Amino acid sequence: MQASSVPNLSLLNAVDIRVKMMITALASVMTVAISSLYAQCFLFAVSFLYLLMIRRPKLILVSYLLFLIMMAIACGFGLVLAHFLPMMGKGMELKSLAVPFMRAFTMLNVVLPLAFTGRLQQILNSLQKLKLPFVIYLPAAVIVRFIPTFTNDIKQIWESLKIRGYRINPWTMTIHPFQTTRLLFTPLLIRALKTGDELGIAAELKGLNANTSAIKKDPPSFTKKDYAAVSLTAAILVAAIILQIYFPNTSPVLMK
Amino acid sequence: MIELKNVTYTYPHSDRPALSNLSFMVRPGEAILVTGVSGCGKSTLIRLINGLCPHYYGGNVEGTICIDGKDNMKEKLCDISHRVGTLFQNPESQFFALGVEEEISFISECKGVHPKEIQTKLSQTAERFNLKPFLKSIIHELSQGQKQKVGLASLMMEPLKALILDEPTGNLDPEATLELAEEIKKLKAQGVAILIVDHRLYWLKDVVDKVIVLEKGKVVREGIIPDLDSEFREKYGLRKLEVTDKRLLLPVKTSSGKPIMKISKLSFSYPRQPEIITDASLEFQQGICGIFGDNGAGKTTLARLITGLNKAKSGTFQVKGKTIRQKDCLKHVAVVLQNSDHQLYMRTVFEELRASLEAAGCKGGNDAAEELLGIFDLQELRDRHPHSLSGGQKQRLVIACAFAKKPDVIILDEPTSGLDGANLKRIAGALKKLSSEGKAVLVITHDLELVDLICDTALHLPLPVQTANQPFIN
Amino acid sequence: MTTMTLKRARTSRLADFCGRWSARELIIIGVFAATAKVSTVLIAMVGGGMNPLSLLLKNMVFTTLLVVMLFKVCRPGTLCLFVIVSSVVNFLLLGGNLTLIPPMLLAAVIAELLMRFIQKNNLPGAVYWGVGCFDLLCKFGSLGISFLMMRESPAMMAAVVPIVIIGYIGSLIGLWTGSKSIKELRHAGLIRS
Repeated sequence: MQASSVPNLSLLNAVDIRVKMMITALASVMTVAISSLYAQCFLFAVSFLYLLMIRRPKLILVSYLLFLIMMAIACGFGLVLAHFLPMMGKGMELKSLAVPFMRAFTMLNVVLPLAFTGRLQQILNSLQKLKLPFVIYLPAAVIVRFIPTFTNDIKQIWESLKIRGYRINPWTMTIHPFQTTRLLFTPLLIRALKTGDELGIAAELKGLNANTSAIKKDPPSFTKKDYAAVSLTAAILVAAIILQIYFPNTSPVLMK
Repeated sequence: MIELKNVTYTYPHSDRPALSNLSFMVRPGEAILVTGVSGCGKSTLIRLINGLCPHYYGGNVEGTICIDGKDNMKEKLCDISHRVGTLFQNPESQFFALGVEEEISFISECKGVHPKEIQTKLSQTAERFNLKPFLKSIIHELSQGQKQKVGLASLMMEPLKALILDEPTGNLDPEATLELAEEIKKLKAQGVAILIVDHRLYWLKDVVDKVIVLEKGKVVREGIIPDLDSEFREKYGLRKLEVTDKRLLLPVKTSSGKPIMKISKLSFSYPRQPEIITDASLEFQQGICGIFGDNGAGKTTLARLITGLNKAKSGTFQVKGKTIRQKDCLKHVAVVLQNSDHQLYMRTVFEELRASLEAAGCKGGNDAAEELLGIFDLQELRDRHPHSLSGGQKQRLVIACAFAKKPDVIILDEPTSGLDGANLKRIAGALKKLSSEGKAVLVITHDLELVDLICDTALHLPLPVQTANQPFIN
Repeated sequence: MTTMTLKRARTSRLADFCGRWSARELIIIGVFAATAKVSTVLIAMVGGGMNPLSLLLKNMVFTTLLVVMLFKVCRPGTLCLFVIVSSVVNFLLLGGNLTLIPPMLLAAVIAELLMRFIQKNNLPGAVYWGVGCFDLLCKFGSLGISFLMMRESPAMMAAVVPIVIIGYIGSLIGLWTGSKSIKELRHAGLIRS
């Protein structure tokens, strides 16, 4: 999650956030819908190139590593189950695993650029551009506004606990889960309630209510880069569909 | 104009009125101060004027409250908001956006004002409040004084007839307080009727035209600030009229006594940034040391270095003559942060103290907790939920929790922000008690009255570079 | 003519639904959504993402927050609005899993109907039943989506099912901690009956 500073080098910073949202949405739906190995490989490759455009190799490496660990654990569970239920084992061959793996990585590839190429304030601006009804815009704006505040609060709560002498780590969370959760969670809950009340009062005093009209902003304008991104996305999706049609599902499980 | 006539207000589920038979007027271009101890009815008065009572909180109102000739009882809250604006002690709690420009224009955008009109008003308002250099800034990067201005600017984007300032100087340093005083004078000149609720009186002598003192919901004095003699102020728990700025008059260290904590050749920088502390040396003796400096001078950073929360680049740490690792400093140092809500975790005051004693590894259990209740005058509150306490009570509780650790050094960050005279004295008394028990008490504060009452020495930031054989340059 | 009347009626019902909310209620929903997001991320970071205990605690905290929020904003549609708003922001901030949104929304609608039914019949515990139902349906939804993602290798569900079960146990505990929290917050004066 990007708080306030964003590298200026990424080409994706110049692309409108609505276009990036559309890419993420379409890629997510497409990757779940199609099951052809070749189509998935194609989507994975293209989305990986898209991910590389954020120019943050360390982030990509760490994200992939964590994801691989999770997938490895999932495979481990799968193999254990296959040992006891051989029928389930038919889907544990490499060819069959490739499709779910690539689905997951494709989704990761399109999610990270959306998360890491926009400042929080840009996200607030995006909410305005989406012309959401006020009942959605106001709470969404509050979430975006308060995530950095709560993150800072958690840091302060953490330090207060450290100062008092409480130790909070995976071990203490395991042996004293409820006490640890209470120590971390109670101040945050109280803070949430008080913040909600204070800001709610401020909103009332500023004359805001749900009948407030939608925000009038200049009509949204897209640049050449946005149109290029949309066109490219459309072409990629068409190619993926063609691959699905001509090289349909290659999973041994479903072919038998 | 703000006009109250024979106003009595009772909260729902309460049988006793919070305010009784209140009548006063604030004319356009006038500023009035309302003051009194915690619980006297100041907040209720604010709520009546801005319409929160009864439109938001409910309750029963007798009498009339008029803003610019219109009765609040006959108007909706959103209509009242067009005429009167309220700025709270912590303006950040009222902000909806992350950036200055976005915050100032947020309400106008929500109300459907045309973007071009918003831009024009934004430019004018930013000019008026000297915010033009900060328009592209992120709010949380600003100083408290600048945040205060952003709060004011966002209210004044639309023309208001009346303005309420609720404890506006609680988080401000003395310099920013004086700036705020000038802003208020400008607003008065523009014909705005201003009601100020504050405990600090000294900065308002040349600003307000009248003062009203409340106690238990009733007016006990109405007049001008100089009329509040010391006997009256003592009786009604008010703060001083005149405050000496002792920050530059305090000595750097007392002549006697071995240092409780000594730090030599301290250097620190944030990652990829220039050093903010270079080869500095500090000694903290028994007593109360005030830590002063402008916003960004490094007061919080220093506190974090002393406790070991930030790792120093270099430095030797000694406690009572024994050299320790920086990360072991936490065993000897306790910190009381500004936001007490972050430091309270348990269901009752007693449980809070017990938990603090256990976390600090102190033996004694219930007896030790009872002792702490007595020392900090919290016995009557033992079964209360910590978050139901008033500001002054919470502050005493978090100091008691810090004391449970039996630290050698206690650091407090703005312990008296927003407290009335009576609570200020209680906190001052508690800190003096800690000091008398052989602790080094370090207080980061802008409260000149607290400095006047308790500080023995001063530490000014940013820290100078150490020269040979001198602890620090004065 | 009939189409126009229906459209007008639909539009006015939507406007009616939107108009019933006060700014305070919308803000509380936003604040709790932010708290839920930050808390669950924090627990995952402290405890480890695959630690069963942190999975349990994450769900427990999330459910507790839902319960408190529904006590604070006692209005039909709160849960649905919470889901919509959280999804929009999740998507923008973290590109959150779009495929989970439809099942979560459906779960919220069903839970709202259940709460309304219980309240209309003057039965106790509407909020707890509603949140419990929402959590259960969300878990089924996430199992369904996981199956769609891994349909070529159904054995991989062996990893997902225990995670979801542990999560749901956490949600059930969260109903209990939610009720305890409400009692404590009433004692603190932060929630009034």
